[in-house]
Amino acid sequence: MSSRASHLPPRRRQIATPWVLLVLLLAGLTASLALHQLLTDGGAGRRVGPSVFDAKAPTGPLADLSRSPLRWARGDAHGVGIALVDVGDPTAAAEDVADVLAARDVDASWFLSGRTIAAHPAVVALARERGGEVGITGYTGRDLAELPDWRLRLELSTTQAALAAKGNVTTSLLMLPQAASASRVDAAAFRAARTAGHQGYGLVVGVDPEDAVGGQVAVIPLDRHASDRLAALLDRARGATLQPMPVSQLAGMTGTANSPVGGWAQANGRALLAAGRAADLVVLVIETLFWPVTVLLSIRALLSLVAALWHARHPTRGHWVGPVTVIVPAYNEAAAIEDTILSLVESDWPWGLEVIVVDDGSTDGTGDLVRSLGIPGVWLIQQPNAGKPAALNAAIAAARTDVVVMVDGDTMFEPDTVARLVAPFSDPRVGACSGNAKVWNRRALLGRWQHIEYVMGFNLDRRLLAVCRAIPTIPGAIGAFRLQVLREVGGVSDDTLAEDTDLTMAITRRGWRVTYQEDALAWTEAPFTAGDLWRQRYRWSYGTLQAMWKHRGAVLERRGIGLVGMPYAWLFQVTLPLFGPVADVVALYTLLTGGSVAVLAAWLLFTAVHTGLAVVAFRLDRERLGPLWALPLQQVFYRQLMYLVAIQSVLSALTGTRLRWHKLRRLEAQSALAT
Amino acid sequence: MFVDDTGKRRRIARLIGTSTGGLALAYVSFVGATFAGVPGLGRLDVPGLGQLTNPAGDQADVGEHPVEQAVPAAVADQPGASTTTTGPGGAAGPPSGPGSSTSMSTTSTTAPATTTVHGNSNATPNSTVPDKGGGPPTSHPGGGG
Repeated sequence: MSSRASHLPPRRRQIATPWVLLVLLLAGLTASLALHQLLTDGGAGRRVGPSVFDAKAPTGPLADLSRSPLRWARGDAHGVGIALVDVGDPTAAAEDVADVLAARDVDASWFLSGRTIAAHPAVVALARERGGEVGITGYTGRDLAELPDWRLRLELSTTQAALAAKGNVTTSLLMLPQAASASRVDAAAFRAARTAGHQGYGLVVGVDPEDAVGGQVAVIPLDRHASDRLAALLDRARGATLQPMPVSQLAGMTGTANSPVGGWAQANGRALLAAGRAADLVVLVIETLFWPVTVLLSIRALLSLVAALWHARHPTRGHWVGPVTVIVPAYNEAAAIEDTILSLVESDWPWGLEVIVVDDGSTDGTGDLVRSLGIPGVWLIQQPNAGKPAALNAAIAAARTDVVVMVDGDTMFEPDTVARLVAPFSDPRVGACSGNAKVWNRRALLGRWQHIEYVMGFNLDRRLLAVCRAIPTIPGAIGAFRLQVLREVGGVSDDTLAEDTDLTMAITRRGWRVTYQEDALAWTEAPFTAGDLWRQRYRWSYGTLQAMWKHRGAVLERRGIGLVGMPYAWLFQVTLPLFGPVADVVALYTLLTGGSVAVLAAWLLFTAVHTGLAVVAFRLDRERLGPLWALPLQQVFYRQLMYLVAIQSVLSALTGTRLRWHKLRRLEAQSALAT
Repeated sequence: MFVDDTGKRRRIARLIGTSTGGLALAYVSFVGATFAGVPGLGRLDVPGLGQLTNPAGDQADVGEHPVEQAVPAAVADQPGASTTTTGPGGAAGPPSGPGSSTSMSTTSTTAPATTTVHGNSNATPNSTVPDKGGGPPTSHPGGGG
């Protein structure tokens, strides 16, 4: 313990940097989602109420709403204003309209959405190339009247920024396409116009081009009829000796509505558009990945369900009997070793059972405790601390039986565990057997979560992998091996932090079968604290990465482990957890900003499927379903812990950080917590 | 395995991490400034309308807070009183053919009589709107015409 404490400061520094980065990336993701929504959300549309203006009172063409009561600018009676309004993609109409304007030598006001300005700057160029002026309609083209004030201001400011970037100007003209005529300016539209007016915008209100008379603005939507309607209007204007003109001129504004901007404003606009494109890209990637990942997870759920049921109906029968050596590597296991040894010697195994405890340099008197027990058939090997693989190898070297069982120093066997575990060795192709590790300290929430995880892992994933002959790990808590096989692979390697995975892969790669005996139970102690759980999983996760890297050649060897086991682990233990935080942030964001029902339904469906699988797993393991109430809560804390561990181990592997084996803190009072 | 004692990979990772983190920080700050409407960053000045050379005068028939006062929910929900937003609104009817019969006259809206009724505070169809700064038409200093 003291050595670990002394190493804490540097370890903390190493951890801090990736977490700061992760938080920044998730903040960036949130910003992307918000910006994407701001710049693309088209709104739902709304019902338009009665106009706030008197139908008989003069209205238009331009309202100054910066003051209250508002002030109308009177239109030049000898002119008619031309307002071309973006109602969607105006690119096709814009060229025809520009041709008509050029042919008649007429200038017009173009009211464009920010989205058009950003995506089709050619339209801005068309609008401005002949002395025309540009007004705006908002960024997305949605009805601004349905937006709260802060969103409305954002629509306007982002559109101005886009115009600054693409047209090098700002504008003071606003038209609400959904309230382009006075009769359609209802209370909500008026409020929106008032908010814009306080910022300095003038609201342009017009009439249909067919109804336009002197002093009014003819509003022509930029659709496929635009050039025809414009030409007709200009024809009639000429007949009535009306001068077609932009809105600012009609309304008698001093100067144009467009004001040139400086480099800073342009740069700001460009940055906004670039940020918007980045946000679109982020959302596109997420949307592209969503269905493949969903399908993948569904296939995995379905396959593991089918495989689990099949495996449960086709257990590996065997009848091997003979003397067995049980190896117990122990490092500072004084709190639990006595129970472990007693459970082993009480095994119902009449064909001879020896226990070899290897005290790997414990400092808590584990060795003395074992010696003081004085149980016949229990042997003690003491060595300076050299690590678990070395401890196991020392015992393997001392073992004289054909079959060796390995068990952790904190794990207890049932009386029939050994018999059930070694039975499959009657098949000479079987090289090793995995048992079923179960969590005994499951009363507290953390233990309960691990209990659920173990039951699901051992009854779904492990059965699926067993069916595919692709079991990647025989857990250190309970496994049986032919001594011949262990010697064949050169004993237990200390190349990785997950020596059990490394060993299992080595055995499988030599062509030996690895089976799973779900009724060979081992009661193991799960970490009590989140910190210990973190360190344990960190070691497993990092060690599994090491083992998979070490045995990467297996993917070319046409065995289950390379064809199924390793791709499965790469996908579900390494790659998908890396995207866990993204999924959580997206779900949380969507839940908080609307679309709540859909997200809630998706979450409920996911939880329902997960719960269904858990129920099947618990039934297969003959476990009570009671602890499953903690399953939905698993999504809130436990899952995050797991994917953060996966991320940290991947980062450590990539950066080449040196790790220490972090010994779990053993709680002395385990009997008090036993269920 | 994986351990790099030279520290080279770690330095590269730190470089990548720092630049990625810096980029993310800049992005978040910029988007945050945009959302907060920081002047000059995210929000540009609106040029304004300048001096309108021919104002028609103040219109007093619309309240300062029309949302709260102008349209009672009952009115807004009457099917006959409402229309659903589609496209560009009332100004976007089907195009009339060339040579539309609509007459275009320079005189129809320039009659002083029409522009001087601007201040009629009772003109709004929403009778629930109280006169705010309304009063007799003649009281408006900005009365044009």
